[in-house]
Amino acid sequence: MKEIALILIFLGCSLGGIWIDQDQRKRIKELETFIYLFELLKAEIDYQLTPLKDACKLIGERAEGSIGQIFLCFSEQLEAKESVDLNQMWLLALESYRGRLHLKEQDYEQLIAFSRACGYLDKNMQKRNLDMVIEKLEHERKISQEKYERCSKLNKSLGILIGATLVIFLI
Amino acid sequence: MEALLKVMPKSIKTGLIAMDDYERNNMQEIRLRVDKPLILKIRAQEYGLNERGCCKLEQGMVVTRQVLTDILHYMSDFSLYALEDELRQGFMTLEGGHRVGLVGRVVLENNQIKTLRSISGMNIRIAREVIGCSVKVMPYIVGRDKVHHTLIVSPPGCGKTTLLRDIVYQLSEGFKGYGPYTVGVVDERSEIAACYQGVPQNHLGMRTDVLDGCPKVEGMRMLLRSMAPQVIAVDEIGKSEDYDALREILSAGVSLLCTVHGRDEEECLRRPYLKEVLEKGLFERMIILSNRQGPCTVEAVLDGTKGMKRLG
Repeated sequence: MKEIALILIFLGCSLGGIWIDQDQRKRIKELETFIYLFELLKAEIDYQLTPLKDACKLIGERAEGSIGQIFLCFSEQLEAKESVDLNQMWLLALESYRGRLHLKEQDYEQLIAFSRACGYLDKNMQKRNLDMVIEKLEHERKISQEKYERCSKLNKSLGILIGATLVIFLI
Repeated sequence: MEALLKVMPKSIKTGLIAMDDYERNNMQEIRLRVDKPLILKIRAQEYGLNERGCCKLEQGMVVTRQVLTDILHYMSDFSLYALEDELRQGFMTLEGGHRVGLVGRVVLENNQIKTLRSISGMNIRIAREVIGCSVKVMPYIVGRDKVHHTLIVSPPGCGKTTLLRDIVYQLSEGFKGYGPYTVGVVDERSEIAACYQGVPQNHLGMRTDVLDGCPKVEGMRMLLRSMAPQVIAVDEIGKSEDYDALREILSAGVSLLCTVHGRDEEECLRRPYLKEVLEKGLFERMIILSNRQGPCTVEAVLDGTKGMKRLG
């Protein structure tokens, strides 16, 4: 019985380290996906002048998983025209899938900024707004990438080390 | 009507839904001006609108700037950037083919209209097709082996575009054993097909290709090169370059349907470019319309090849 408990403690700590590592890796991946989708949105607006609801639907369908769903949810709300508040619609779309993403508060702040000038004024304004959002997300991505490279091995080995230390201590 | 309701804020939507069928089916225009009563034009009479439906003007709601802003957002699908050209021209087309005229403060850049800001008024013209309105003139247009080059002449608001649209439909679907023909439409102002996001909202027939929002001259050449049309239709010719392009099309073996502003053939002959085209007999048929018995009243059908001989 004691051996099983010790194995479980060791496994739990090791998996904890791996989980923290995975969480950071997924955050970077999600930031990359958002950047890619915003680039697509910019191209749709700049090249084809596609209305926001159609552009969001198109790119939402191209992206897999929750991030694609966020754009699809936003597009559906634009289509339904139940409100004139774009901020509220975008926020609702983000909130609907928040639990499924690995982003941090500062990432959400940058994402929320997207809707502030979204659909407002002309094509150049849209491009500038998207450029700004992309730039800020890219900044976050770079910081988290550097952090991940620095701490990835540490997180994993720290989990194993803590597990091993606890096991030794308990023995 | 569904399409129209989609772009209206709740206050107006409720009133429009409460209207009875007669009012709804005969509504011609909705006029909105900031701080002025909303005006519905039903069978040439003016009415107001409140939450119980159609009412006297003085009992109706007053339009606020916020209402206009909301409608503009809904109409543009929250994408004003996608309507830059439309705003510059002062009109846009809604789903269902309804046309919206806009007024406000014009923003100029290099003496060119850049956009409209502070939109202060809108006129929503309810689109209604009159399928079959060209049946009377079709026998004069279709010939044994070809469609005659036809010019439709009338003052504004007499149904030129409505007639042209129905002629296109009849040719594209086939009329009493004539045709069907492949028709190309250059719809510079989105009035013929009333395209919404590229899809014609009006019936133009299954063999009709539409170049929406395209300048006439470039559009006619593009259609000729790429779509192999048997008939090309354009609305409101007038500039000198339009006539150059017309000559090109007329010599390419494609039949041409055009409209032009004018009261009658004499008024047309007073215009230098049009006079030259007419005197050469390039337009084989000329249809004169008026508003005498309502829109699309055919005053005369003339044979352009025989010195404007009256055919009907």
